[in-house]
Amino acid sequence: MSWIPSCEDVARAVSDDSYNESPRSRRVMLRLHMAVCWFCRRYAAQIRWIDRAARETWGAPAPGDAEVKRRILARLKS
Amino acid sequence: MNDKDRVSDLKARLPGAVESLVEEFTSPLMAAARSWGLSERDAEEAVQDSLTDFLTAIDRFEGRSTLKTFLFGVLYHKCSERRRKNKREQATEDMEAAFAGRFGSLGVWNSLPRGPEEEAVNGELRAWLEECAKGLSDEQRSAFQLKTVESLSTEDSCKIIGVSATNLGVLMFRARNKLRECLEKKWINR
Repeated sequence: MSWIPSCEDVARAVSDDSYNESPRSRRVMLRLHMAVCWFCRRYAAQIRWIDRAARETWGAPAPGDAEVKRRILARLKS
Repeated sequence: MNDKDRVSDLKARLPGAVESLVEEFTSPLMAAARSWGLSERDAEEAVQDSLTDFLTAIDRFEGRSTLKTFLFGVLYHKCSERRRKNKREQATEDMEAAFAGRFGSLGVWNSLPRGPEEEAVNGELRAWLEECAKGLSDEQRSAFQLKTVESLSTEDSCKIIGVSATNLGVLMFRARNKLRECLEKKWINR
């Protein structure tokens, strides 16, 4: 990994969550790269979409959960 | 309700305390158990067992981790026992090679990455996501569920799965890129 991040470095930092844990100077370089690289911005937008879609798909209660809660509660209290 | 109040209500056996616990945690725990490869029936059993274990040991719960982290940790252990080990493990090298192959020698994109970006998550895209998630290993799926869907911290996610922060980063990188590569193929061929 060189001082000036490549597209591959940016894509890694975006997808393994290391961006937030990088030193400030590194984050500035990554942001600068993104500002001028349309391909990396597209990639980052796709990763953000995946995270949002996952939260909407797997984070919402399932239709049968009310019934599951009722059964679990009944068994816990018996 | 914060953890401290909830735990003290449960320790005091206050009416409604168990109901409130079940109401708040059943859906997220069920979602995690399903995502970790358990059938609906096994997921319900694992969630029930996790809550039972917690309530049985409530008087010894010292609050060293948050209630959410504690419950997900117990559930993760129960799910690991139940699911067939590594049944979904695939050659991770395939994904690494596919990712590396996207870039030229200077680490510059060879071609434009494509896929959904701003689209609403409709039925078709949700079905694609479900299908693509089948390609993740159990560990990748677990890491992704805890960090992205449950928004748990790196520290708590590592504690639950039992991996280092570096390994968690690798799991997240592989999970997201497997999903993205799979969605890209569907997007191009739609």
